[in-house]
Amino acid sequence: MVCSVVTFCFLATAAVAAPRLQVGPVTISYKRFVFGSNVLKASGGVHMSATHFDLQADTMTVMLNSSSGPGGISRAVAEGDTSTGHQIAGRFEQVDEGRTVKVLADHAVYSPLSGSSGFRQMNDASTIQGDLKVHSNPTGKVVFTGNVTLSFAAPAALAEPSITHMDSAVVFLGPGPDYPLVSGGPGVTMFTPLH
Amino acid sequence: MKPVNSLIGRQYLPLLQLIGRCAVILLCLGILGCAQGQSRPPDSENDVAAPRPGSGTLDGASGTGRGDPNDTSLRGDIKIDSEKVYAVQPDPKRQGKFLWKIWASEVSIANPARQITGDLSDVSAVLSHNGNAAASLHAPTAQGDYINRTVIASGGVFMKSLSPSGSTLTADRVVWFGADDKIIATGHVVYRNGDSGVVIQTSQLVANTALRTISSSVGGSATVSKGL
Repeated sequence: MVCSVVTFCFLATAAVAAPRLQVGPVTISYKRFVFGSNVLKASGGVHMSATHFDLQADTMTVMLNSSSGPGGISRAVAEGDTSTGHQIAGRFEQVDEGRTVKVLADHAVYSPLSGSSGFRQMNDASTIQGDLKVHSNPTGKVVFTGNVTLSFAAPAALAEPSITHMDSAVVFLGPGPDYPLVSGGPGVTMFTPLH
Repeated sequence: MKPVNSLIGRQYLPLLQLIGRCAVILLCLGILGCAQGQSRPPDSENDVAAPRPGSGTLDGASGTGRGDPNDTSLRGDIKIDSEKVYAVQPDPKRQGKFLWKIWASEVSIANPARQITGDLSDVSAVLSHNGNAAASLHAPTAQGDYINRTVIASGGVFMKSLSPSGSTLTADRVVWFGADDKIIATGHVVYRNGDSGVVIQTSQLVANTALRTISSSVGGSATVSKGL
């Protein structure tokens, strides 16, 4: 096992083009909820799931767009239970490439991205190091903060998942083989490459 | 006496025959229109007509209808039997406004000690809040309590908000508490918000009459169709 301190920059790319990723509808399961003015507040254990992505939290506030406009989710805020140490658990998959990103954190915020602004963010040197080549623009991002633990599994490259501990991480969502795309700040990564 | 056609002139006879046929058709349509009355329950407060003659209205104390109110055998247990019964409860706090309007194929009204209750079949209703029509309700059966302003609908209930967004709710059973502006829906509850399109499924939820705010303390799920 190799341990190193790095300015974390993790890019998932594909050598072969993959079919466009379909996120599909989002289902939110809960034990309790209140809904009004297009805001859903769920608690008692919340599970948000969609194609190749799911998020579990103690509480979640989801703001919805009007269906006469863009529709869908405009913003979602998830919280763990800090009193019990129960964190948010996120899982993102790139099925065609066999890659899985898992995240544990105290807080998470999802927000959609428009195509052009998202691409500019992707190339923002303050968030991502080095040159990046992405084949499509991200459609949304999830910002994880507070005792973040990132696990990256890529059977083609790693013998076992790499583990990174950091203060914050951003997971970009979008179609195609480039996603999920992860960006984060300083952290400690442990990984075992294939021999 | 000369024949009609010689009095009028032969050239006008076909025209008069056409006019006569049209008059007969219009007369028949008029008769049918009157007889049909208000057979379709409305979806909004504006789409409401006065009770049909003979259908009866509900008096808070005694009740009247096709049954003879002077018939002592009916006193205390009044049954109105008609094709469609229309009943309305005025809002005592707001003149000219109503608490609810109900259409039913059959209604049985009991008046034990002046507490009016009624059993209704094939029910359509408009429920109001603060004098404004808030939601429509359709159900195979319902029980209404005139004094306590509650309606219990069952057998598969469909509600629709009368606000522009038109949120809907279906459930096995719905209890409406008019005084509290609250409904409790139980059994296979499906709520669809007309603005965001989110669909919420649960076994029980609480909502206001207009279906704008809802809550639940039992498990369930919400689906956003457009997703992320």
